[in-house]
Amino acid sequence: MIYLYAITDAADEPDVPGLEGAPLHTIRDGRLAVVASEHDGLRLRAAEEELWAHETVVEALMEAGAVLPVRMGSVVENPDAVLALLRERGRDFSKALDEVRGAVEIAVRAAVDPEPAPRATSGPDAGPGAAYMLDRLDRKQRVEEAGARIHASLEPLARDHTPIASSHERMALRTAYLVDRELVDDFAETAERVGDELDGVTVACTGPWPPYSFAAGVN
Amino acid sequence: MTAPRGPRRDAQREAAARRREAAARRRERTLESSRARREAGRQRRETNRERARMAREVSLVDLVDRLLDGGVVIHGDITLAVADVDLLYVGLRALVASVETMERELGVSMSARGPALESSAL
Repeated sequence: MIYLYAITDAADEPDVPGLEGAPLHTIRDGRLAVVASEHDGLRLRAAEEELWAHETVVEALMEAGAVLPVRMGSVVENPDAVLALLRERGRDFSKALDEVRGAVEIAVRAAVDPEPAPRATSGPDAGPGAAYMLDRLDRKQRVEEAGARIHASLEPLARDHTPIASSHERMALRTAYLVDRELVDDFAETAERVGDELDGVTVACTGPWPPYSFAAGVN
Repeated sequence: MTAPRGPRRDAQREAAARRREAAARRRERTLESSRARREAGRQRRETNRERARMAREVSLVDLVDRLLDGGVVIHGDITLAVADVDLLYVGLRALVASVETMERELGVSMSARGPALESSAL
């Protein structure tokens, strides 16, 4: 079976090993290429090592040029299936590669500190149920305001952005930003500054990642 | 006193510790501005170690998010429906569950690291 890592239009051949140390193959159709490794019954484990092994390949490709990561665990039967994929969806892949070219993905999360803020405005007449609801509303509002403010500072520095699902009630912002490589340091500094300006909010960034969150919608 | 002591053993221990730290660093993707990195370099070693642990954990959460939910989806009849892929997803769901637990605690842990962040960001 053929295990897929990413789609690229870079000419360079990657020189890192694939999963289980397998050599990487580049299967080309015109300018487009799929980077893959061939396995005889690959058994993927959901282990940290395995995840980083996959990631290492995609990051090496990202250093060589524009890259569209393929979702982890994608396999096809043979090289012909890869070529068919490129012919069928090549136009969309090329367009998507142009959209991420020269940019990286930065993950931003902002969490509001857990301690409940005492409500100055809740009067003595408010019952315990009402006070509870007001507290919840107050916190929800605090979280939303913090998220909006952080996003407003970061958005001008990004080419694109997409929210990442989070059910965490203290999570004010969980968003992936597509940022030009040369703006990454500005972006990180802005995130640090806005985090410092907001009381009781912690802002953290990870990256630079290959543009996973901006490749998910490519059909 | 049966355990060997002395310079050789110390050197081995230090080499092993260096290897572990290097491996951990390869799995860090926390992003700081160049200025913050310079300041963090002046932090005490203990603080750095704690920061490195958090950096690895946060990086893993974000990695799992991306590998599971991001990337181009290859669908249709060319995708092999092998049992291994199902197993992978079952296993990854378990990993994500532990990651979610970690994340619930993340706000607390990250705030606990607040003073270090403040001084490093000036």
